[in-house]
Amino acid sequence: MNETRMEIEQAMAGEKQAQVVTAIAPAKMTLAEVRAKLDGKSGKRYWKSLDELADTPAFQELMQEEFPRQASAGEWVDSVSRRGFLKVMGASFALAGLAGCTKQPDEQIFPYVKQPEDLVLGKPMFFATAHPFPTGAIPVLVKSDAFRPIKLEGNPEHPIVKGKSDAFTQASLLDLYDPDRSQFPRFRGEQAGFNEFQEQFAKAVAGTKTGEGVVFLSETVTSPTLAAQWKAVQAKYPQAKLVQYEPVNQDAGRAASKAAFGDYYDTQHKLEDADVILALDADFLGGIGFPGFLPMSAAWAERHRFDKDKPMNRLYVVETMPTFPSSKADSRGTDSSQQSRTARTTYRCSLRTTGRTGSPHLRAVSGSTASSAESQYSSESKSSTPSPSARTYGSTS
Amino acid sequence: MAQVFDRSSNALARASLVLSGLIVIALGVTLNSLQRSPWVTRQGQRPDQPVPFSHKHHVEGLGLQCQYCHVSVEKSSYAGIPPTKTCMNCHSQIWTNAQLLEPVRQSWATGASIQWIKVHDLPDFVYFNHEIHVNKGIGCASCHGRVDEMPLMYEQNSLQMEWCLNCHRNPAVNLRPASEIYNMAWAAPSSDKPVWCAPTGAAGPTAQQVGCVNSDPASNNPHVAQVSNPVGIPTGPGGVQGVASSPAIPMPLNYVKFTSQDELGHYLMKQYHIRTANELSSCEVCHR
Repeated sequence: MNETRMEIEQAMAGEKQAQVVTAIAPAKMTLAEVRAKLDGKSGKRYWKSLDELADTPAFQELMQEEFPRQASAGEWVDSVSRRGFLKVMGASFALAGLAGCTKQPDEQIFPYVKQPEDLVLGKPMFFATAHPFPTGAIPVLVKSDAFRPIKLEGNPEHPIVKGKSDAFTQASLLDLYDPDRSQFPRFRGEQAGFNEFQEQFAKAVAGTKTGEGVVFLSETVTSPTLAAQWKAVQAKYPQAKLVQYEPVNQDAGRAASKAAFGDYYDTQHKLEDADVILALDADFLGGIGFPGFLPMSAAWAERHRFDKDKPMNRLYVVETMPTFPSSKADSRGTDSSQQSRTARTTYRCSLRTTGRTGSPHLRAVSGSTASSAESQYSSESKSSTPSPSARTYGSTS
Repeated sequence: MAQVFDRSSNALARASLVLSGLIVIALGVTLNSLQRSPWVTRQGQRPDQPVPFSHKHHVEGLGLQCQYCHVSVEKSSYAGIPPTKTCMNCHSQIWTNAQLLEPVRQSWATGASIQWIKVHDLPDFVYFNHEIHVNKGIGCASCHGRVDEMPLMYEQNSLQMEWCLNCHRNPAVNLRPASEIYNMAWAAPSSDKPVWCAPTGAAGPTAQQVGCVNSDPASNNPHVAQVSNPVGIPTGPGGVQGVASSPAIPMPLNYVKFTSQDELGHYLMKQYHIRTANELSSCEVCHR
């Protein structure tokens, strides 16, 4: 602790030394000194201030800070100089075309030693799998070229997603080729194997019979396999904890379900039944924090298509930052969270007046970051049955 | 003040004008011939391969079919380079101690690929598909030359864009019957050796729907198409006399005789539904 503080102090002191000169004491020259300076000089020679005429070292330093172009020739040497960077970049771009005029180097062919039987090189293969997502796995079909994935799409044969996917699933392809992705298990930052993990874990839990003080940290677990494995761990070490962390999570929604129903539930919205949808800071088309958002956006789109016999749904959005639903909304309002709270109260009041007189088709979709959990569920408890598929893994959350 | 330039410098000025014009032209001609030279296109060059594989020996000498090694030429954009396994199919039995085949045995033992040097190397921005060419009447030899006469593989054609366009502007000069795709020695029809073609009515790829023969179908065994029995014509005893009781009725095909490549090419272009350069005007056909 002390060491760190000392380091910080040293760094701050160093900064003080390299402080930028922005002002110097004005030069004081007597008339005789000015005369002496100008003695023997002729022609047009201007000076804007006495400082310039005096030309003290302090003044030169000031000039260097103020007009670095004139002052220094270090631009080319400085590796992070903006001007130098642009110059080199410009030259690179200008000369890049020349690379096309050179003779191409020899290329090699690396054929298989034993070619997989069902592989036709040049034709893609498709594999069905799932993309784990904080709000539940998304079934995907992976297009792969010689067993290297090149495109992800929703699995068209899956009854829920029907071949649809979202931006996160599409982008997750890049994760597979991410050079920062860990290639092996690490132990204290060093490369290790799973065997070492097992050894270390056995050593760690040997002292505690019930696994007291053992904490697992993970992202949100939606995989049934992993959940089953955790259940097995929990059966052996009942005191062990699994802590799940997600930068964008459903904590508010889950807390609300706890408050409303006494346990953790995921809300299942039936947007295909809704005539009017009010989204309070809820990106239910974009997918963050919404379980089953693919069928949700499909259901919304289905009812938003013009059909003579069916009334189109209407979407109202109140939000603190731009979301997908707002670009599709019939009416939207940007609000600070204070005003948003007011909107919720207003909505709740109007629900009280209209809801009882038989308007069962009004749905409120509230965001995962919503703080007012109570109002979120005041409508849900009336209109939709929450699914019991809550994910409660022991003493988590 | 005296003249800076005297009268003779007029001639110098004119000469330098002409000369600089000539230099510009010479530069253009040089760059042009350099760009088309085998040094750039690799046309005719035989790179040092890890194994001096002879297509002549394997194709002409032993009679191996192209697709024994280049398996995916009919079904994929990529014709395929055989895996080491294909070599070892035979060479685990014959020439097992040959020094030349050491890299093959090494590859088989270690599991590391044999590192061939690409002879036909298209730039990465070019998309070429073997499948469509082979299935629409372009023979191997049309692009790759007489591979069966090449002891060491080399590039017969420049594979430059002008070479692609030369054919695509007039595909008729290179089209051949689907049955002759892998025939290295196929020659265009002439009045001495005519070709007879007719639609067979067969299902499948377009090129399979045309049958061609090298001998006169009228004098030899008549080639027939199988046409299914139309409903309503009774067969067998009590039916129409003289009609065989088979479910198909033999029908003579209306063969057309071709004595020149031009006629045959235009006939096949129509039959194969081959698109002309005007229809393939989008850049992304080849540059994807």
